[in-house]
Amino acid sequence: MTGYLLAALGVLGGLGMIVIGDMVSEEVRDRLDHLPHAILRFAAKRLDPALRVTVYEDEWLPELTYILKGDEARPITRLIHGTRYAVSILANVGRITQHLNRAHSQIAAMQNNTLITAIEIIDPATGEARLTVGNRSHWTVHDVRVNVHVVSGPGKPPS
Amino acid sequence: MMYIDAVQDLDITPKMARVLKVFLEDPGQPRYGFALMKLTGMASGSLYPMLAKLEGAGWLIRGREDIDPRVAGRPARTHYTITGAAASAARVQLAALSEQYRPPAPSRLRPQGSTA
Repeated sequence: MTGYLLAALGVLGGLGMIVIGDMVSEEVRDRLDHLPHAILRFAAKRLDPALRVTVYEDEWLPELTYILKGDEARPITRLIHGTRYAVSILANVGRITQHLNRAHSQIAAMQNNTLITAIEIIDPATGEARLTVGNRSHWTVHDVRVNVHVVSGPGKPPS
Repeated sequence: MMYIDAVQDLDITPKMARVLKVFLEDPGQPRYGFALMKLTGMASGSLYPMLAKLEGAGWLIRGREDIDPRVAGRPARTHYTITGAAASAARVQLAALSEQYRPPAPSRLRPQGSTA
């Protein structure tokens, strides 16, 4: 009788240990997932505030979430990938900010009243041309067709 | 008003060539940061400045992943696609870069012991 009782207690104890083990590993897994997020948040604090939404919230955070929740994510693999992703960003956040600021000003320059100071036709057959924007930036364009319409202007009209 | 598909001239570095090569494999395919990291072997800290540079020069266009975040259980990611003009320019410049790094043809070796 005592033997049966001990065996039942042993089985219950074993089951209890499995359940507790699962809970502990779940807890550890959950806490470890916070590590790359914390590193990325720290990197985001060093970003230019104007870039924080477009870069951290729209790009870095969704990508990190994908790494940590993606289909291929195994607990150790995702921790390594996620941490490596966040640490590399943290180590280079200054360079990233510098490039992003430059990129945004270039995009704005092209979208706003950009002064094209020169057009050089490289290949008339393909319509490839090079534009000089301002006095330093060079852009190559393809499939250019130039139509000149003289609306009005000073000087003598063509005879 | 005139809209032009323009790309700013860039000096292609070997690292940049690795990124562009991935985009050229399927120019219409949007590429995500983590996938690009895996395909190029570059770390996020090197890749993102490169993507910013290419985007600023008009070579890449940024977009958003088409998912429902509530269904997917995660936010939509940012992706990049190469523009048509950039794909043409990249092909030309990668070919030039490849030519630049191509080793010279071996000189004709004279067999040992021959006199002439």
